Amino acid sequence: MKEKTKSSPVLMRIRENLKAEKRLFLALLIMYMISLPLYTIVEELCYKIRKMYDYNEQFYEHKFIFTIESFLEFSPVIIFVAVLEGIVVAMSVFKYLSKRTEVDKVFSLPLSGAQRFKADFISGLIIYIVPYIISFVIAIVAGTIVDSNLGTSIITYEGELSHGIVLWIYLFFIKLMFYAFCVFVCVCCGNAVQTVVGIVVLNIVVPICSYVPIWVIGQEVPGYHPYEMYGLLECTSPVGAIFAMEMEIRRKSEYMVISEIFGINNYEFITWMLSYILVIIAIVLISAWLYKKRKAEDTGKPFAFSLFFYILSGMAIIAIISYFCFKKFYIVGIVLSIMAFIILEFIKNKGFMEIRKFLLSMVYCVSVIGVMFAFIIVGKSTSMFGIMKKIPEISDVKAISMGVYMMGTAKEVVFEEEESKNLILGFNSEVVDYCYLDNDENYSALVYGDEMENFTSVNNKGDITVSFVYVDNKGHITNRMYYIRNDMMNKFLCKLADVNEYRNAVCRSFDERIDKSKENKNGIVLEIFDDLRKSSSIVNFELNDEIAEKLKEGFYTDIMSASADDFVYNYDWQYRLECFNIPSSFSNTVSVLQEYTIK
Amino acid sequence: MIEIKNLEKAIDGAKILDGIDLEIKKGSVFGLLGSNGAGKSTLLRHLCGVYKQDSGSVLIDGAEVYDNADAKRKIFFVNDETVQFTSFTLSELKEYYKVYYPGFSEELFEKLRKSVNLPLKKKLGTFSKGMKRQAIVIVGLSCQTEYLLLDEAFDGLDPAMRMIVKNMLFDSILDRQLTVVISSHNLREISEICDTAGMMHDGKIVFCREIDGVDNVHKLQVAFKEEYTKDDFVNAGLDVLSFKKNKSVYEIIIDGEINEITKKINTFSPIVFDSISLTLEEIFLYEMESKGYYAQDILDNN
Repeated sequence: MKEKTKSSPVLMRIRENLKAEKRLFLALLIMYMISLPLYTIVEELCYKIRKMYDYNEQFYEHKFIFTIESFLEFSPVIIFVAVLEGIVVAMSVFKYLSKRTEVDKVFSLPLSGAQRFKADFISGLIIYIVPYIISFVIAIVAGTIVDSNLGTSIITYEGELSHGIVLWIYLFFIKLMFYAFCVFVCVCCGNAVQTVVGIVVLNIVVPICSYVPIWVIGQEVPGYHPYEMYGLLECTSPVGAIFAMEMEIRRKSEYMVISEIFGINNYEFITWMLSYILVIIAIVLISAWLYKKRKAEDTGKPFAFSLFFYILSGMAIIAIISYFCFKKFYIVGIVLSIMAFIILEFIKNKGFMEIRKFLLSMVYCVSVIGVMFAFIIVGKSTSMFGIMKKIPEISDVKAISMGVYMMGTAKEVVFEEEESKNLILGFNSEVVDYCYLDNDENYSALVYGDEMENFTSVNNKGDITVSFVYVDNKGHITNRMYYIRNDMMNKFLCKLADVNEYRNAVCRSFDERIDKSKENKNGIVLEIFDDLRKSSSIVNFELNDEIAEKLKEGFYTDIMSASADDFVYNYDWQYRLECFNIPSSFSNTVSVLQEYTIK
Repeated sequence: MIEIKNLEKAIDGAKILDGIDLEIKKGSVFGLLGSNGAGKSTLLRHLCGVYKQDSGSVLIDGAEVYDNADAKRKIFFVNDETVQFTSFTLSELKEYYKVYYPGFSEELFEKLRKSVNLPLKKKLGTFSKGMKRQAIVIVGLSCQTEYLLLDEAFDGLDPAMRMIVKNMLFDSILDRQLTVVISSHNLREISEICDTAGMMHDGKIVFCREIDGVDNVHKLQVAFKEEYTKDDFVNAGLDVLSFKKNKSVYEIIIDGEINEITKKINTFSPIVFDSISLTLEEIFLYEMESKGYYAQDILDNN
């Protein structure tokens, strides 16, 4: 009996692939199940048990608890391994691209190249992603049942996705990107070893090549802040994306005030996801195009497309040259990169090449080295291609965060009013002019000279660093950092001290400090210095509501009537209340302190 | 019909196929002969769409094969390796191909399987070489494609196994006008199953002729009073494949109908005239020599 099949060839191939790789699917499912849902339950159980024992030390001696808590440390490792399985999945569904014995079996099937690629790509995606989705959903349900934070706060009270959910979704896109990269490398390489090496190298070298040259330039360009260029890493590879994410989280932690005010999470989350989606689509389209060009007889060769090898080796050269440019060991960098390139060619060709081809490849190597040097030199001499000399327009700036010294302590202050923003932008402009003074002289010394004093002269143009954090109307952060002289900063602070927003910020900071001290059982700490401030005595006094309110009122009155000198120079102080230096001229504050302490 | 026009293919800088022109009619059984490295497997891979030609065309029923799912659906390719199927059971192998070939016949599959008593659920890795070959041929025949390509399908099989596989092919050829292309470096084997044979050497089709037509090649031993050259006989309208002279005795291999040959030779007034039977190998050897190829090491006389 003849059987007719009505399914599309793509669906048929997907089904066959899923059948063939069912063990791999199950392995991934088990890995995620024991890490995600089980992790949620175990974490919550440990938390509840810990609470029951009232954080007693005996709790930690309990073997059962110790065992299940150890699982929590092991669980991220399982997730990491499961993510790396993307390599295995891609190489399994596309095994005919690296295994000669599979070529005839697959290429002779009645499928077009496009159908085959589509089917194999989708099969691999299903095998790789579906276990993660299943386990994620089960983790949410499990978390809800055991009443964990993850389960009950999918949406926070501010209306945003909880961090746990954001991380899971983020990991989903990272996995998609990783799989797309793995497929791309499978298409470009012709054997298993090269494929694995290619995936590892692509994930590591591409981010390095994207970031390190910029970082090297930035070390000698005023205004450069390390956070600023992490965005370059986002779309370079999954490893780069993870690194960029971590840096972005650190930036937000560092500038927590401004992040919280402007709900930066939502905007950044959306931009991350969009950029990842675009990168994934681009990689998949490129892979499909290359797949079409790829020939069956390329299987077994190290590279189906030599261009891929030259891209990877070129990036390796860029990474080496950049690093040694930073170290100022230029000759070492050139020699090492040439050596590395020759070794890579030797491995690729399984021996020495004929002279003509060798010379051509050396021309390529030298060209990359030359381009890299030119890039760094031009970057340094043009202030990173003009970027670092630019400061935002006031119309684009929603708020500015600055670390400002106030009354003996440095604090992040967020400025939103026009007066403040104008002042700060003006100051930034002055700082740029100062830092780029004698520009050519300094830069020529840096590029061609080897003396460390010249190298440090730009970076140490001053005694202190000043950072500007600009937030635009969409919530995007721009960082700038400069080294300036103390007197410049003091001059600026004197102007800033006349701005009401700043004074209000100082008061708010003081009030927050007082409120926090009220909850402290030991009360508030007051340090009283002698006239020469050589010795001091420490007084703790209990802070009740009455005293707290009096202190706040007194401080507010003093601040609003204080002179700029009191803020900036603040030399005449004898009392240190928590982290605030209280000048003698703050009569209202001092009188409250004297009333409740000296007595 | 399979049409190949001026097919050229180079791999890693080496010319594997160098201007192949070939036509294989529907329903014929074509034998592709040649030594190792002649380009037989490469040619077959072009026919089933695995390789893309550098230039020229490969048409199946008028359509280009490469990247054409519809054309490829008419073809089943059995290559010379079996290692890629060792992890399959016969049942899994059947399921693997069944989904792609709408004409797959379960009935035929079962009939063929039972005739050679192959187990369904055992992995092909446990089969002997001959059994593996049988397994893939069975699946190929069951797909009921219009074209079947066999790359050295009989090599390494014992005579009994060869007979079984050949019989399977014969049945399908007779049943549904299956067009078969078999590659081998064994002429005897090709002659037993094929109706047409082509010889490949260094990426070219050296010659191509119907097997049945070999009856028209004759070896003559003649003696004449006068001396003659090869050109004398060629000018007389004889298709001389080989011409040797030992003193007054001429040994001439001529292609043509015997009566016509006799009539033309008689015009030279031979003293002695004798016609000798040739083996198929000898005929092919002489054909090659006439084209300027030294074929001693090309044909494998097993």
